[in-house]
Amino acid sequence: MITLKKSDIGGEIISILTKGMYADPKDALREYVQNSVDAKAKKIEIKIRQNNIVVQDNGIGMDFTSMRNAIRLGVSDKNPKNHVGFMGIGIYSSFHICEQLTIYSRVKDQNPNKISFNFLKMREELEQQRDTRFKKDVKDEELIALQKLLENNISINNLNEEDFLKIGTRVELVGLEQDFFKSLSKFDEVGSYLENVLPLPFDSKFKWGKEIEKKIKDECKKNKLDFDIVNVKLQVNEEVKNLYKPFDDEDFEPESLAPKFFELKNGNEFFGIAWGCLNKGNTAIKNDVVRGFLIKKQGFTIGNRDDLLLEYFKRPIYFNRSVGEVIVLHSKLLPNASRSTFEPSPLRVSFYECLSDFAEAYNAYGTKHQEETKANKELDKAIDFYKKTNAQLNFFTGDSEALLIRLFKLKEISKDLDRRFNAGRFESINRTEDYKKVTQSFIELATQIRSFIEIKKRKKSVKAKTDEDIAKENLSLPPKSDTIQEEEFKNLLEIIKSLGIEINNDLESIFQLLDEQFIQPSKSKQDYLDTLRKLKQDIDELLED
Amino acid sequence: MNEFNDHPVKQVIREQWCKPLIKHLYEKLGYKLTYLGLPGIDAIDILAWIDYLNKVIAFDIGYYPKPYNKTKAEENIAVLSNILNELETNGSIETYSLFHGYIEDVVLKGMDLNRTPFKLNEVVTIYNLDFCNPLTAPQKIIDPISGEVYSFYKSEVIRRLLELQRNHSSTNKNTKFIFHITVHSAFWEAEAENLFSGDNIDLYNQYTKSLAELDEQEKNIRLLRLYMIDVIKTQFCSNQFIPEFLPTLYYNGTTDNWLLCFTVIGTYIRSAAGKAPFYQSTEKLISEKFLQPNDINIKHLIQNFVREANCPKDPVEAIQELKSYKEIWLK
Repeated sequence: MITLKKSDIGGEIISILTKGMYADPKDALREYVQNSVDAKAKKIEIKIRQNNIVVQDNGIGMDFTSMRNAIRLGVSDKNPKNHVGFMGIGIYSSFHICEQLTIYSRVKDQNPNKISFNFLKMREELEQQRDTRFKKDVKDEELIALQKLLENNISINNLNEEDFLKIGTRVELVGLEQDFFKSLSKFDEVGSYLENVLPLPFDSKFKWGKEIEKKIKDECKKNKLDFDIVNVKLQVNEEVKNLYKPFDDEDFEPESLAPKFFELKNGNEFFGIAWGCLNKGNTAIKNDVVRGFLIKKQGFTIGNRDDLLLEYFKRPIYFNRSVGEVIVLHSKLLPNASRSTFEPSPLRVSFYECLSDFAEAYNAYGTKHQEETKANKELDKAIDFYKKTNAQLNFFTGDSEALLIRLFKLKEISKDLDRRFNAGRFESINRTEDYKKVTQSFIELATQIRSFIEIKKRKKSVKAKTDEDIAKENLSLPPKSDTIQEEEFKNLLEIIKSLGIEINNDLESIFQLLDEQFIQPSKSKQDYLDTLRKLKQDIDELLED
Repeated sequence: MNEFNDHPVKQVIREQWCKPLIKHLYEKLGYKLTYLGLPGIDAIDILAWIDYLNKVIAFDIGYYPKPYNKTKAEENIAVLSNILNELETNGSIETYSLFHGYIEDVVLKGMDLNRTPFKLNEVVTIYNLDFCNPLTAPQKIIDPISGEVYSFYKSEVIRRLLELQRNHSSTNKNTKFIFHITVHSAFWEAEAENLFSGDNIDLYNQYTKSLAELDEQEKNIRLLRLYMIDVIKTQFCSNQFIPEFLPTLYYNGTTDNWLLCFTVIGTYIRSAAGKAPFYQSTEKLISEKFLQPNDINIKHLIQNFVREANCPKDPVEAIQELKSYKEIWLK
């Protein structure tokens, strides 16, 4: 047993902790929004103006006791199961950003209260202590204890009703440090950050939003968990915008597939669900703000897209072709204080295994879609080939070599289609029927070509088909699928970029050089484009293996 | 402190001229108003009209005496910011935004001294512009994007603000607003070289003749009135706002500058020609008496050497006589 003195916990701890945990000044906004969400707020306004930031909510507010307790450091009476913030430090997240933090709060049927933190003075006192320590040894009693630092610089007051009329809480950060203000006054930067980290509703610009939201709500209900969404309005001086999750149909080319849901379960442990929308065009999502998957707990983001999840996908190909979220619903799986990852525990290990399974399942789903797309394209090409050959047949009836070439090609295409059919690539009933029709037509056409070859051998004249016959036969074939047309790549660099691989300027130049030296030479434009198409197919197959 | 804000005459204008008009607009529109202007670091105008305001868009340089002192300016801006913040906290206004710099600079450069972009998010219902600052004109500004240097007259600010107002008005067809603008001799001198060319030359010559008996100052304020009416009329009409002028206030500022305060009622009108009509007659407007506020009330200015007609001293009575008010506002 040891007896501690006040000075055993120095005031410096608050500076060290907040600097380490909230490296980005925007993290402070997230922390105050977390408190609003915990206070059951449905509407939050974030206002960033000269000299101050305000986060105001319509939550249940705090009474005097709750406000008094809010100043505690590393002590929280919030239940991690129901609350987003539970570490008891978030209130100090603006320690290095502003001179003064003031919080007004009011609960129903009570007068409001106000609490003020003089962060500037706290920082100055700590700075002074640091300067003194450079000059001489400081005695124990001269050190600024945490308790003293807080006591001297925090005040709490009762207010009159008219001082703060609305029920809820208003957090004011006054006297922003210039550098922080510059960063925080960039509307797009702040908006994008908040849209990625907060529990916001889907934008109507994303057609699957409602379906996904309903699925998440249902899962939460099944697991007796709250599902909180907040409406956040961001104002940076005269720029104002309601914030939504950043997903947008326009990020897909040509469109997204319907969301695919995955249950995250490891044995008896249910961790949550994941959803992903794959780019139908089999190319990477160009907007890197939304590309890939994010992990969410109680609506707030854990880590970022590339750090936490990408490694489980092993290859970035389908990760980069998708947007999605992993929604963690397990109440005991807790994020660390800076929300960069989860706290180490056996549960986390189990969850990571689950992520690995999810990534594998998602990759398989992506591969299946890619194969089906390819199979559909091949089927469409076969239909084109049939129509063309059928229409041109009259011109070749006397040319055995031309007939043989077409017969050989028919066989080759037929074989490829059979292989894809046997591998289950024509999944829909319609496409299976189409495949059967095409195969039957191929057989008939082959028989016809063979008969022409036979007749030619016997040196008899061949009766030409009428245009009417050809049209009838061609029309009997199925129309083209709604499979998207293959993307036309104009050069090697476009192919590399379509894979979603980040390349710097040097690499860009190297790829351009390779293209000029080895791919483009002595080729017609059509040959060059065909080579690129083939190259893209090979790369896709390589990445799948 | 802003040299013009603490003057007793200003109080009379604020309380007896502007406030009844603002109250009337608030009652007519049925919702609280959006203010854009220069409230001064004590925000006296805002505090006086607070019952009718919902939002404040404020500009302030923070420090008028030369040379400009950044630290002092920022302290002053913080005072204004604190007042606005308090009004927002106690629910008197819903929100505000604050731009640091001369309004001319901020509006034309598109950003303030802290490089905060200047944008307008909605229709403004009360403009309270004051071109009494010590900036001379024409000003030189550097376009932050192209790096080109441009000269501009202060009246350019009116054009730019009305363009922004028009952009929002195309989605909000019922735009009605009050436009107060105060100018003083420096404005007149700086912009004079740009005066009365082309279409106005006859009217100018004729009017100048009729003012021959007056002393230089009295003559000049009347020419300035003609000039301002012409500038405001042109900018309003070309942005599809019908301008209707209320009587002009004429008074002495604290530093013995003579000041003119114009009040214009703006009404958005959609027109195929992209231009709003002008219902009033410039000749009639310039032949009206000035209103002269003193420390107690507002009176007609009697000038013996020129014949000028009476005009309403009550702003609400004045607005109710306007054609756009009768034909559009009352509908």
